[in-house]
Amino acid sequence: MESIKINIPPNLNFVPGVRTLVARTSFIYGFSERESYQIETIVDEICNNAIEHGSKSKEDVVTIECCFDQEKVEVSVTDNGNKKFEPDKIIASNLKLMEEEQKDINIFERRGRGLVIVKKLSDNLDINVGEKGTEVRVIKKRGLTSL
Amino acid sequence: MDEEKFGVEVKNLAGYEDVKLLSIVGILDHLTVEDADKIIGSLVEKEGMCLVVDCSRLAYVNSTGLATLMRYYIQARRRKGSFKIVAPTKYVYEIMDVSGAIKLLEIYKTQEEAIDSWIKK
Repeated sequence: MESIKINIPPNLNFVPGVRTLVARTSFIYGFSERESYQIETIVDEICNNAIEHGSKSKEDVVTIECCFDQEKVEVSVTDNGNKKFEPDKIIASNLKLMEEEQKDINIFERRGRGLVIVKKLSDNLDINVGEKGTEVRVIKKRGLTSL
Repeated sequence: MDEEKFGVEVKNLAGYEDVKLLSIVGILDHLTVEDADKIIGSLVEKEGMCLVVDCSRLAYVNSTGLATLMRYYIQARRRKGSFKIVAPTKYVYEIMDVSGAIKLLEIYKTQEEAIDSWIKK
């Protein structure tokens, strides 16, 4: 297994470069173009959440770690913010919100699809919320997508 | 870098003042939605305007970009207009599908189909 580890400040400007790096590395490791695109999306959504809802001060750090082997990539994004949230409830409520939008377009909320997208594109999603920060860990298997 | 720079191209459709042909190019994410708003934001607020949006050159969209597209759709509908997506790439379409956006957005394979759906309504 080989890995890369990237520390970025909590600034959205850094996310495109990170997601592109991970996507291209995934492709080199044998993930298909489609899978690499999905991995880029996964990294994007998790990093954006970490920055928008996690780390707040300029001294905070968002850490992205990706471990590649022949079968999968494990992506871990950690922030040291102190937000309190319950990810399972957020995902469940966002799925419900998406269903409601079909029936009435006036029920609309701008935010909230990121975690649902990550969950659907991943083979495994773990979110650990602690006092010192949050870690989101995703596994994406090669050639065995959850879709 | 081999990505197209973000932009929104706008053209008129001859003979139809209530139709605009748009093309979204590049990446629609947190960093570019404000640029999209500068052009599309005012168009969706016009009464009875149909915006036909070519997405064949939309290379990447995240949940923020999708939420923005959905907001445009809803704003246009509220003004008795329309916001029609045309020819997203297969990967962008998949993200639209996974996010649930396809349940709300009108998506067409060709510009002609999208225009016809407005003209012949």
